[in-house]
Amino acid sequence: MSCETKIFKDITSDCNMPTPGIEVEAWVFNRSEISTTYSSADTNQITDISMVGSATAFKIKGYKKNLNCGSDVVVSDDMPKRFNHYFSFKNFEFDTESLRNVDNLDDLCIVVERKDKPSDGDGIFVGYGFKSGLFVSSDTHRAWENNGVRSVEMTSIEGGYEPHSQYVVFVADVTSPYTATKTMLDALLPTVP
Amino acid sequence: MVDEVKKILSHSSGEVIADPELCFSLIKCYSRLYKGGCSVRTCKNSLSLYYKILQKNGIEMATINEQAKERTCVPAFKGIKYISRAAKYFNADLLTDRDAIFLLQHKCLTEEDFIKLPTGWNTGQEDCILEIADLLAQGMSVKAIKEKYKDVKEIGGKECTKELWTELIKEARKLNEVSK
Repeated sequence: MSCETKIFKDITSDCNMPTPGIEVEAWVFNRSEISTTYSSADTNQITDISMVGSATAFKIKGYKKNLNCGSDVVVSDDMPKRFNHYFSFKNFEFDTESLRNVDNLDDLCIVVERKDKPSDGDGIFVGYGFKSGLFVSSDTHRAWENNGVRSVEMTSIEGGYEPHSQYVVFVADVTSPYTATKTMLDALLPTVP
Repeated sequence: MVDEVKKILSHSSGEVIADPELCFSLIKCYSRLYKGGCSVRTCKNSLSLYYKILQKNGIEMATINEQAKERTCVPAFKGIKYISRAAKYFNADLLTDRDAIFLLQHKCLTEEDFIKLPTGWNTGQEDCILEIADLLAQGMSVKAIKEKYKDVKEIGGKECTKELWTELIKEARKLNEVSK
């Protein structure tokens, strides 16, 4: 069986240009604490995420453009291509717990919400690092630079690249897949007493 | 609307775009079904995109649209409303009971957004009705659904009797006519 992949539909760039950017909140999971369901038809579509045991998801709250994400293709002459996932944020917190929390960042999966909201809800929520995790690739703090904030960048680990450029997180619903997906993600966060 | 969508889909994308009548019909159906009746772009590439979207679930959406005629809810708002919490446009004239319950349940709309609330809302059973409707839509039998929830003793403060089950399944089927 051949591993060669083929495209299967037109690629159109027209006046329906997407709104760029992502919202200022992202959902974060320790990869070892989630169980992910993929669509049987589309291997790059996540249809459900559940937490293992009593684990919960967390949120990274950014400001304006200080959350960023994306991917870079990793091309090889003798292997199928893979994707190096990327996520970055700025950390404003310097108390004991927050420092230890950010020092512990590794092997994470992240879901972001794109500012572009197509009416069918497909492609609004996008996941990174779901197969191999995201690991800190750069973590810089200088007291007199960047207003003293800490800049953290996470990428796929060397050799542990992802098979897709990003994963679409999509819970189907006739009325609003957007709301259904967001409800599923929010339900994974700790319950507010 | 269902017949109109079927008519569009019985032609190829190229044929629809080349025929002014079909083209107008495509724009009308897409706008009504996906954009709450808003005006939409009409360039060739956009038309081709609308055709692909109709191919995906146009008949299902048109069937739901027909359901809106039998709704019990009366929205207080008029025209087209963009509900950011649902990331979608909703036309007051086309809002179905299922949409209304879903939007109320997820706090995308409040009870003040309705002159008359949809049947099945605020009974404490709406979660259950929606869940049963989804299971029925997936093809699960009534017997299997009852088996799945056999340990549930109470729904919305009411004891789980045979009569309550019949009532819930009836409501779920009503919401879910589209899957029949």
